[in-house]
Amino acid sequence: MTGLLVLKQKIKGFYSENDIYLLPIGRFALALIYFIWINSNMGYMQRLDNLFVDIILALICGVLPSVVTVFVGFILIFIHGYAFGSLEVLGFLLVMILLMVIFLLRFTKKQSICIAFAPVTLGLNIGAILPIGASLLEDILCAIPIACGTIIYYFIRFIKLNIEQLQSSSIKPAQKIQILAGGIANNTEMWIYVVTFIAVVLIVNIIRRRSFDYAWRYAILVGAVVYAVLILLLSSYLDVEVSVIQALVNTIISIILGFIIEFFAFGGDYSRTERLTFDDDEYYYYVKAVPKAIVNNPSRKIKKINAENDEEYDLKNKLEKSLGDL
Amino acid sequence: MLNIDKIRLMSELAMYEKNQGRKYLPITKYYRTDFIGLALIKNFFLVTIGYGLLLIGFLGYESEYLMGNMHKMNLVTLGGIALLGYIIVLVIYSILTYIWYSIIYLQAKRSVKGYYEKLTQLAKLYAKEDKKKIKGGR
Repeated sequence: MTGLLVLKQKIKGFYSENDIYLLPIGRFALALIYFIWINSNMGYMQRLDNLFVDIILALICGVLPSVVTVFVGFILIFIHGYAFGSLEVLGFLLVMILLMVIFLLRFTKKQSICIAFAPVTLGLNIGAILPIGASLLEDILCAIPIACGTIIYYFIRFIKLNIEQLQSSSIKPAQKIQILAGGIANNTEMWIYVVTFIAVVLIVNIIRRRSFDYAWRYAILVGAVVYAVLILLLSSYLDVEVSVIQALVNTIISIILGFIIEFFAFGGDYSRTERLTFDDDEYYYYVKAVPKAIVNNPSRKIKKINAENDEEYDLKNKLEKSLGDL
Repeated sequence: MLNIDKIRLMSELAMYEKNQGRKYLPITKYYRTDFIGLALIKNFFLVTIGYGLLLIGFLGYESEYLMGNMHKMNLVTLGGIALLGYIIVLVIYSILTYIWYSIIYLQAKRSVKGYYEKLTQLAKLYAKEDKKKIKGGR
Protein backbone atom coordinates (compact mmCIF):
# COMPACT_ATOMS: atom_id res chain seq x y z
CA MET A 1 0.00 0.00 0.00
CA THR A 2 2.85 2.39 0.84
CA GLY A 3 4.30 1.77 -2.61
CA LEU A 4 0.96 2.69 -4.18
CA LEU A 5 0.71 5.85 -2.09
CA VAL A 6 4.22 6.85 -3.14
CA LEU A 7 3.23 6.27 -6.76
CA LYS A 8 0.09 8.38 -6.22
CA GLN A 9 2.17 11.22 -4.75
CA LYS A 10 4.55 11.03 -7.69
CA ILE A 11 1.71 11.04 -10.24
CA LYS A 12 0.00 13.94 -8.43
CA GLY A 13 3.29 15.83 -8.32
CA PHE A 14 3.88 15.18 -12.00
CA TYR A 15 0.32 16.31 -12.80
CA SER A 16 0.55 19.51 -10.78
CA GLU A 17 3.85 20.36 -12.49
CA ASN A 18 2.61 19.59 -15.99
CA ASP A 19 -1.16 20.20 -15.89
CA ILE A 20 -0.76 23.00 -18.41
CA TYR A 21 0.16 20.30 -20.99
CA LEU A 22 -1.71 17.28 -19.60
CA LEU A 23 -5.19 18.85 -19.57
CA PRO A 24 -5.11 19.89 -23.26
CA ILE A 25 -3.70 16.43 -24.14
CA GLY A 26 -6.61 14.78 -22.27
CA ARG A 27 -9.15 17.04 -23.96
CA PHE A 28 -7.52 16.36 -27.33
CA ALA A 29 -7.67 12.57 -26.81
CA LEU A 30 -11.33 12.63 -25.76
CA ALA A 31 -12.32 14.93 -28.64
CA LEU A 32 -10.42 12.76 -31.13
CA ILE A 33 -12.14 9.54 -30.01
CA TYR A 34 -15.54 11.29 -29.97
CA PHE A 35 -15.13 12.72 -33.48
CA ILE A 36 -13.81 9.40 -34.84
CA TRP A 37 -16.88 7.70 -33.34
CA ILE A 38 -19.23 10.25 -34.97
CA ASN A 39 -17.51 9.89 -38.35
CA SER A 40 -17.42 6.10 -38.23
CA ASN A 41 -21.12 5.90 -37.34
CA MET A 42 -22.41 8.73 -39.54
CA GLY A 43 -19.71 9.61 -42.09
CA TYR A 44 -22.26 10.70 -44.71
CA MET A 45 -20.22 13.78 -45.58
CA GLN A 46 -17.17 12.09 -47.06
CA ARG A 47 -14.97 15.19 -46.91
CA LEU A 48 -15.35 15.23 -43.12
CA ASP A 49 -14.89 11.49 -42.70
CA ASN A 50 -11.14 11.85 -42.57
CA LEU A 51 -8.72 11.24 -39.70
CA PHE A 52 -6.79 14.37 -40.60
CA VAL A 53 -9.93 16.52 -40.14
CA ASP A 54 -10.64 14.77 -36.82
CA ILE A 55 -7.11 15.50 -35.59
CA ILE A 56 -7.32 19.19 -36.55
CA LEU A 57 -10.72 19.59 -34.87
CA ALA A 58 -9.49 17.70 -31.78
CA LEU A 59 -6.39 19.93 -31.59
CA ILE A 60 -8.61 23.03 -31.63
CA CYS A 61 -10.86 21.50 -28.93
CA GLY A 62 -7.78 20.56 -26.86
CA VAL A 63 -6.87 24.20 -26.23
CA LEU A 64 -10.45 25.43 -25.72
CA PRO A 65 -12.86 24.70 -22.82
CA SER A 66 -14.34 21.20 -22.79
CA VAL A 67 -17.86 22.46 -23.69
CA VAL A 68 -16.48 23.32 -27.15
CA THR A 69 -15.87 19.59 -27.81
CA VAL A 70 -19.57 18.92 -27.24
CA PHE A 71 -20.66 21.72 -29.58
CA VAL A 72 -18.17 20.78 -32.30
CA GLY A 73 -19.57 17.24 -32.01
CA PHE A 74 -23.10 18.63 -32.51
CA ILE A 75 -21.96 20.58 -35.59
CA LEU A 76 -20.36 17.41 -37.02
CA ILE A 77 -23.64 15.52 -36.42
CA PHE A 78 -25.61 18.30 -38.19
CA ILE A 79 -23.25 18.33 -41.19
CA HIS A 80 -23.49 14.55 -41.55
CA GLY A 81 -27.28 14.84 -41.13
CA TYR A 82 -27.33 17.38 -43.98
CA ALA A 83 -25.21 15.10 -46.18
CA PHE A 84 -27.51 12.15 -45.39
CA GLY A 85 -29.79 13.44 -48.12
CA SER A 86 -32.98 13.51 -46.12
CA LEU A 87 -34.33 16.80 -44.87
CA GLU A 88 -36.37 14.96 -42.23
CA VAL A 89 -33.26 13.45 -40.64
CA LEU A 90 -31.47 16.82 -40.52
CA GLY A 91 -34.59 18.53 -39.16
CA PHE A 92 -35.14 15.84 -36.54
CA LEU A 93 -31.50 15.99 -35.40
CA LEU A 94 -31.66 19.79 -35.20
CA VAL A 95 -34.91 19.80 -33.21
CA MET A 96 -33.73 16.99 -30.89
CA ILE A 97 -30.39 18.61 -30.05
CA LEU A 98 -31.85 22.12 -29.75
CA LEU A 99 -34.52 20.82 -27.36
CA MET A 100 -31.81 19.13 -25.30
CA VAL A 101 -29.81 22.37 -25.15
CA ILE A 102 -32.81 24.59 -24.38
CA PHE A 103 -34.59 22.43 -21.83
CA LEU A 104 -31.79 20.43 -20.21
CA LEU A 105 -28.19 21.25 -21.03
CA ARG A 106 -28.36 24.96 -20.22
CA PHE A 107 -28.42 24.04 -16.52
CA THR A 108 -25.26 21.96 -16.83
CA LYS A 109 -22.17 23.71 -18.05
CA LYS A 110 -18.98 21.94 -17.03
CA GLN A 111 -20.80 18.59 -16.71
CA SER A 112 -21.80 18.77 -20.41
CA ILE A 113 -18.59 16.96 -21.33
CA CYS A 114 -20.34 13.73 -20.20
CA ILE A 115 -22.13 13.89 -23.60
CA ALA A 116 -18.81 13.19 -25.31
CA PHE A 117 -17.96 10.47 -22.79
CA ALA A 118 -21.28 8.65 -23.32
CA PRO A 119 -20.64 7.29 -26.85
CA VAL A 120 -17.00 6.56 -25.98
CA THR A 121 -17.83 4.42 -22.93
CA LEU A 122 -20.94 2.82 -24.44
CA GLY A 123 -19.01 2.05 -27.62
CA LEU A 124 -16.27 0.37 -25.58
CA ASN A 125 -18.89 -1.63 -23.60
CA ILE A 126 -17.89 -0.03 -20.29
CA GLY A 127 -21.02 2.10 -19.94
CA ALA A 128 -21.31 1.57 -16.18
CA ILE A 129 -18.17 3.60 -15.48
CA LEU A 130 -19.84 6.71 -16.92
CA PRO A 131 -22.50 7.26 -14.21
CA ILE A 132 -20.21 5.89 -11.46
CA GLY A 133 -17.15 7.93 -12.43
CA ALA A 134 -19.09 11.10 -13.20
CA SER A 135 -21.03 11.05 -9.94
CA LEU A 136 -17.80 10.45 -7.97
CA LEU A 137 -16.17 13.51 -9.52
CA GLU A 138 -19.15 15.76 -10.20
CA ASP A 139 -22.52 16.59 -8.66
CA ILE A 140 -25.92 15.06 -9.31
CA LEU A 141 -26.52 17.27 -12.37
CA CYS A 142 -24.20 15.09 -14.46
CA ALA A 143 -27.19 12.75 -14.88
CA ILE A 144 -28.63 15.19 -17.47
CA PRO A 145 -25.73 15.17 -19.98
CA ILE A 146 -25.25 11.42 -19.42
CA ALA A 147 -28.90 10.80 -20.37
CA CYS A 148 -28.62 13.16 -23.39
CA GLY A 149 -25.37 11.49 -24.52
CA THR A 150 -26.97 8.05 -24.27
CA ILE A 151 -29.95 9.20 -26.36
CA ILE A 152 -27.60 10.66 -29.01
CA TYR A 153 -25.55 7.43 -29.05
CA TYR A 154 -28.60 5.21 -29.64
CA PHE A 155 -30.24 7.61 -32.09
CA ILE A 156 -27.14 7.78 -34.32
CA ARG A 157 -26.96 3.98 -34.26
CA PHE A 158 -30.67 3.85 -35.14
CA ILE A 159 -30.12 6.09 -38.21
CA LYS A 160 -27.23 3.86 -39.29
CA LEU A 161 -29.35 0.70 -38.97
CA ASN A 162 -32.33 2.21 -40.85
CA ILE A 163 -30.41 4.01 -43.56
CA GLU A 164 -32.27 2.30 -46.44
CA GLN A 165 -35.73 3.22 -45.14
CA LEU A 166 -34.74 6.79 -44.33
CA GLN A 167 -33.07 7.44 -47.68
CA SER A 168 -35.84 5.81 -49.70
CA SER A 169 -37.82 8.23 -51.86
CA SER A 170 -40.90 5.98 -51.77
CA ILE A 171 -41.51 6.72 -48.07
CA LYS A 172 -43.38 9.95 -47.35
CA PRO A 173 -41.72 12.68 -45.22
CA ALA A 174 -44.38 12.31 -42.48
CA GLN A 175 -43.69 8.56 -42.32
CA LYS A 176 -39.96 9.21 -42.05
CA ILE A 177 -40.58 11.56 -39.11
CA GLN A 178 -42.70 8.82 -37.51
CA ILE A 179 -39.89 6.29 -38.03
CA LEU A 180 -37.38 8.72 -36.47
CA ALA A 181 -39.66 9.52 -33.52
CA GLY A 182 -40.20 5.79 -33.06
CA GLY A 183 -36.40 5.40 -33.00
CA ILE A 184 -36.42 7.37 -29.76
CA ALA A 185 -39.79 6.59 -28.20
CA ASN A 186 -39.77 2.84 -28.94
CA ASN A 187 -36.06 2.23 -28.38
CA THR A 188 -36.49 0.14 -25.21
CA GLU A 189 -32.79 -0.68 -24.87
CA MET A 190 -31.95 3.04 -24.89
CA TRP A 191 -34.55 3.85 -22.22
CA ILE A 192 -33.28 0.96 -20.05
CA TYR A 193 -29.80 2.48 -20.15
CA VAL A 194 -31.07 6.03 -19.59
CA VAL A 195 -33.14 5.01 -16.53
CA THR A 196 -30.30 2.84 -15.16
CA PHE A 197 -27.71 5.58 -15.60
CA ILE A 198 -29.89 8.17 -13.86
CA ALA A 199 -30.59 5.75 -10.98
CA VAL A 200 -26.87 4.94 -10.61
CA VAL A 201 -25.90 8.64 -10.62
CA LEU A 202 -28.45 9.40 -7.89
CA ILE A 203 -27.45 6.43 -5.71
CA VAL A 204 -23.68 6.91 -6.04
CA ASN A 205 -23.98 10.63 -5.35
CA ILE A 206 -26.17 10.16 -2.29
CA ILE A 207 -23.93 7.45 -0.75
CA ARG A 208 -20.66 9.24 -1.58
CA ARG A 209 -21.73 12.32 0.36
CA ARG A 210 -22.53 10.37 3.56
CA SER A 211 -20.12 10.67 6.46
CA PHE A 212 -19.75 6.95 7.27
CA ASP A 213 -16.41 5.22 6.75
CA TYR A 214 -15.49 4.10 3.22
CA ALA A 215 -18.53 5.93 1.80
CA TRP A 216 -16.82 6.31 -1.61
CA ARG A 217 -16.09 2.59 -1.87
CA TYR A 218 -19.63 1.61 -0.82
CA ALA A 219 -20.96 4.12 -3.37
CA ILE A 220 -18.95 2.45 -6.16
CA LEU A 221 -20.00 -1.06 -5.14
CA VAL A 222 -23.68 -0.23 -4.62
CA GLY A 223 -23.73 1.78 -7.87
CA ALA A 224 -22.23 -1.14 -9.82
CA VAL A 225 -24.64 -3.66 -8.26
CA VAL A 226 -27.64 -1.41 -8.96
CA TYR A 227 -26.41 -1.03 -12.55
CA ALA A 228 -26.11 -4.79 -13.11
CA VAL A 229 -29.42 -5.60 -11.38
CA LEU A 230 -31.41 -2.89 -13.19
CA ILE A 231 -29.97 -3.75 -16.62
CA LEU A 232 -30.67 -7.47 -16.19
CA LEU A 233 -34.10 -7.05 -14.57
CA LEU A 234 -35.39 -4.40 -16.96
CA SER A 235 -34.06 -6.19 -20.05
CA SER A 236 -35.69 -9.48 -19.05
CA TYR A 237 -38.96 -7.72 -18.09
CA LEU A 238 -39.10 -5.70 -21.33
CA ASP A 239 -37.82 -8.51 -23.58
CA VAL A 240 -34.63 -6.81 -24.68
CA GLU A 241 -31.63 -8.93 -25.52
CA VAL A 242 -28.71 -8.03 -23.26
CA SER A 243 -25.68 -10.26 -22.81
CA VAL A 244 -25.48 -11.25 -19.12
CA ILE A 245 -21.74 -11.93 -19.32
CA GLN A 246 -21.11 -8.60 -21.00
CA ALA A 247 -23.15 -6.76 -18.34
CA LEU A 248 -21.23 -8.51 -15.54
CA VAL A 249 -17.82 -7.89 -17.14
CA ASN A 250 -18.85 -4.26 -17.67
CA THR A 251 -19.79 -4.03 -13.97
CA ILE A 252 -16.48 -5.56 -12.79
CA ILE A 253 -14.41 -3.27 -15.03
CA SER A 254 -16.41 -0.30 -13.75
CA ILE A 255 -15.77 -1.28 -10.12
CA ILE A 256 -12.01 -1.49 -10.80
CA LEU A 257 -11.99 1.85 -12.64
CA GLY A 258 -14.16 3.35 -9.88
CA PHE A 259 -11.64 2.28 -7.24
CA ILE A 260 -8.83 3.81 -9.30
CA ILE A 261 -10.78 7.10 -9.45
CA GLU A 262 -11.41 6.88 -5.68
CA PHE A 263 -7.71 6.24 -5.02
CA PHE A 264 -6.66 9.37 -6.89
CA ALA A 265 -9.60 11.70 -6.18
CA PHE A 266 -10.29 10.88 -2.52
CA GLY A 267 -7.84 8.59 -0.70
CA GLY A 268 -8.86 9.17 2.93
CA ASP A 269 -7.17 7.16 5.70
CA TYR A 270 -10.10 5.99 7.86
CA SER A 271 -7.82 4.23 10.39
CA ARG A 272 -6.75 7.67 11.68
CA THR A 273 -10.23 9.20 11.81
CA GLU A 274 -10.80 11.69 14.59
CA ARG A 275 -14.16 12.62 16.08
CA LEU A 276 -14.53 15.92 17.88
CA THR A 277 -17.46 17.43 19.76
CA PHE A 278 -17.65 21.05 20.79
CA ASP A 279 -20.16 23.85 20.97
CA ASP A 280 -20.47 27.61 20.78
CA ASP A 281 -23.31 29.98 21.66
CA GLU A 282 -25.51 28.84 18.80
CA TYR A 283 -24.56 25.27 17.80
CA TYR A 284 -23.24 21.89 18.88
CA TYR A 285 -20.62 20.59 16.48
CA TYR A 286 -20.00 16.89 15.82
CA VAL A 287 -16.95 16.87 13.58
CA LYS A 288 -15.46 13.84 11.89
CA ALA A 289 -12.02 14.49 10.42
CA VAL A 290 -10.60 11.90 8.01
CA PRO A 291 -6.91 12.54 7.27
CA LYS A 292 -5.66 12.14 3.73
CA ALA A 293 -3.46 9.11 3.14
CA ILE A 294 -0.15 10.79 2.32
CA VAL A 295 3.34 9.36 2.60
CA ASN A 296 6.56 11.28 2.33
CA ASN A 297 8.21 10.86 -0.99
CA PRO A 298 11.48 9.06 -0.25
CA SER A 299 14.25 11.20 -1.72
CA ARG A 300 17.50 9.49 -2.54
CA LYS A 301 20.75 11.41 -2.19
CA ILE A 302 23.63 10.16 -4.27
CA LYS A 303 27.10 10.91 -2.99
CA LYS A 304 29.86 10.56 -5.52
CA ILE A 305 33.19 9.29 -4.25
CA ASN A 306 35.92 9.09 -6.84
CA ALA A 307 39.70 9.25 -7.18
CA GLU A 308 39.69 12.90 -8.29
CA ASN A 309 38.55 14.05 -4.83
CA ASP A 310 41.34 12.01 -3.21
CA GLU A 311 43.86 13.64 -5.49
CA GLU A 312 42.44 17.05 -4.65
CA TYR A 313 42.72 16.20 -0.96
CA ASP A 314 46.33 15.11 -1.42
CA LEU A 315 47.17 18.29 -3.24
CA LYS A 316 45.55 20.33 -0.49
CA ASN A 317 47.55 18.49 2.19
CA LYS A 318 50.80 18.90 0.24
CA LEU A 319 50.15 22.60 -0.22
CA GLU A 320 49.42 23.08 3.46
CA LYS A 321 52.57 21.14 4.38
CA SER A 322 54.79 23.17 2.08
CA LEU A 323 53.25 26.42 3.33
CA GLY A 324 53.93 25.24 6.91
CA ASP A 325 57.55 24.48 6.00
CA LEU A 326 57.99 27.98 4.65
CA MET B 1 12.46 46.33 -1.27
CA LEU B 2 10.15 43.39 -2.00
CA ASN B 3 7.14 43.08 0.28
CA ILE B 4 6.43 39.35 0.66
CA ASP B 5 2.94 39.91 2.16
CA LYS B 6 1.98 42.09 -0.77
CA ILE B 7 3.31 39.58 -3.31
CA ARG B 8 1.43 36.74 -1.57
CA LEU B 9 -1.83 38.70 -1.54
CA MET B 10 -1.44 39.76 -5.16
CA SER B 11 -0.73 36.15 -6.24
CA GLU B 12 -3.83 34.91 -4.39
CA LEU B 13 -5.95 37.64 -5.96
CA ALA B 14 -4.59 36.90 -9.45
CA MET B 15 -5.23 33.16 -8.93
CA TYR B 16 -8.82 33.86 -7.92
CA GLU B 17 -9.38 36.18 -10.87
CA LYS B 18 -8.01 33.52 -13.23
CA ASN B 19 -10.06 30.61 -11.87
CA GLN B 20 -13.29 31.09 -9.87
CA GLY B 21 -13.32 34.85 -10.32
CA ARG B 22 -13.80 34.53 -14.05
CA LYS B 23 -17.17 32.93 -13.35
CA TYR B 24 -18.26 34.81 -10.24
CA LEU B 25 -16.87 38.36 -10.50
CA PRO B 26 -19.06 39.41 -13.48
CA ILE B 27 -22.17 38.09 -11.64
CA THR B 28 -21.59 40.26 -8.57
CA LYS B 29 -21.56 43.40 -10.72
CA TYR B 30 -25.36 42.95 -11.03
CA TYR B 31 -27.99 43.52 -8.37
CA ARG B 32 -29.70 40.25 -7.46
CA THR B 33 -33.02 41.31 -8.99
CA ASP B 34 -31.32 42.42 -12.23
CA PHE B 35 -29.33 39.18 -12.50
CA ILE B 36 -32.37 36.95 -11.97
CA GLY B 37 -34.58 39.22 -14.10
CA LEU B 38 -32.19 38.94 -17.05
CA ALA B 39 -32.08 35.16 -16.63
CA LEU B 40 -35.89 35.03 -16.63
CA ILE B 41 -36.09 37.11 -19.82
CA LYS B 42 -33.55 34.78 -21.48
CA ASN B 43 -35.57 31.83 -20.18
CA PHE B 44 -38.77 33.25 -21.72
CA PHE B 45 -37.23 33.40 -25.19
CA LEU B 46 -35.57 29.99 -24.91
CA VAL B 47 -38.76 28.29 -23.67
CA THR B 48 -40.75 29.97 -26.46
CA ILE B 49 -38.28 28.70 -29.09
CA GLY B 50 -38.18 25.24 -27.47
CA TYR B 51 -41.96 24.95 -27.26
CA GLY B 52 -42.26 26.14 -30.86
CA LEU B 53 -39.83 23.41 -31.93
CA LEU B 54 -41.82 20.84 -29.93
CA LEU B 55 -45.03 21.97 -31.64
CA ILE B 56 -43.41 21.82 -35.09
CA GLY B 57 -42.14 18.31 -34.28
CA PHE B 58 -45.58 17.22 -33.12
CA LEU B 59 -47.28 18.70 -36.22
CA GLY B 60 -44.73 16.95 -38.45
CA TYR B 61 -45.28 13.65 -36.64
CA GLU B 62 -49.07 13.89 -36.89
CA SER B 63 -49.17 15.68 -40.26
CA GLU B 64 -50.86 12.82 -42.13
CA TYR B 65 -53.63 12.54 -39.54
CA LEU B 66 -54.04 16.30 -39.35
CA MET B 67 -54.33 16.65 -43.14
CA GLY B 68 -57.05 14.03 -43.27
CA ASN B 69 -59.04 15.18 -40.25
CA MET B 70 -58.47 18.92 -40.12
CA HIS B 71 -62.07 19.72 -41.10
CA LYS B 72 -63.44 17.67 -38.17
CA MET B 73 -61.30 19.35 -35.52
CA ASN B 74 -62.12 22.25 -33.27
CA LEU B 75 -59.08 24.40 -34.00
CA VAL B 76 -59.89 26.92 -31.24
CA THR B 77 -59.83 24.14 -28.58
CA LEU B 78 -56.60 22.75 -30.03
CA GLY B 79 -55.03 26.21 -29.98
CA GLY B 80 -56.22 26.65 -26.38
CA ILE B 81 -54.61 23.34 -25.34
CA ALA B 82 -51.36 24.33 -27.06
CA LEU B 83 -51.40 27.71 -25.30
CA LEU B 84 -52.13 26.10 -21.92
CA GLY B 85 -49.24 23.68 -22.46
CA TYR B 86 -46.98 26.63 -23.29
CA ILE B 87 -48.00 28.50 -20.14
CA ILE B 88 -47.44 25.39 -17.95
CA VAL B 89 -43.95 24.77 -19.46
CA LEU B 90 -43.07 28.47 -19.15
CA VAL B 91 -44.15 28.61 -15.49
CA ILE B 92 -42.23 25.40 -14.59
CA TYR B 93 -39.07 26.61 -16.32
CA SER B 94 -39.38 30.12 -14.86
CA ILE B 95 -39.53 28.63 -11.34
CA LEU B 96 -36.53 26.39 -12.12
CA THR B 97 -34.60 29.34 -13.57
CA TYR B 98 -35.43 31.51 -10.55
CA ILE B 99 -34.19 28.85 -8.10
CA TRP B 100 -31.12 28.02 -10.20
CA TYR B 101 -29.96 31.62 -10.70
CA SER B 102 -30.67 32.53 -7.05
CA ILE B 103 -28.31 29.71 -6.01
CA ILE B 104 -25.65 30.86 -8.50
CA TYR B 105 -25.93 34.46 -7.25
CA LEU B 106 -25.62 33.35 -3.62
CA GLN B 107 -22.57 31.20 -4.46
CA ALA B 108 -20.99 34.13 -6.32
CA LYS B 109 -21.57 36.50 -3.39
CA ARG B 110 -20.02 34.04 -0.91
CA SER B 111 -17.08 33.31 -3.20
CA VAL B 112 -16.30 36.97 -3.90
CA LYS B 113 -16.42 37.95 -0.21
CA GLY B 114 -12.93 36.53 0.47
CA TYR B 115 -11.60 38.22 -2.67
CA TYR B 116 -12.78 41.66 -1.55
CA GLU B 117 -11.36 41.10 1.95
CA LYS B 118 -7.95 40.41 0.40
CA LEU B 119 -8.31 43.48 -1.82
CA THR B 120 -8.90 45.59 1.31
CA GLN B 121 -5.80 44.08 2.94
CA LEU B 122 -3.80 44.94 -0.17
CA ALA B 123 -5.12 48.50 -0.17
CA LYS B 124 -4.05 48.83 3.49
CA LEU B 125 -0.56 47.59 2.63
CA TYR B 126 -0.33 50.20 -0.15
CA ALA B 127 -1.50 52.91 2.23
CA LYS B 128 1.19 51.85 4.75
CA GLU B 129 3.86 52.01 2.06
CA ASP B 130 2.68 55.44 0.94
CA LYS B 131 2.89 56.72 4.51
CA LYS B 132 6.44 55.40 4.83
CA LYS B 133 7.41 57.09 1.55
CA ILE B 134 5.98 60.42 2.70
CA LYS B 135 7.84 60.14 6.02
CA GLY B 136 11.07 59.22 4.22
CA GLY B 137 10.60 62.16 1.85
CA ARG B 138 10.45 64.62 4.73
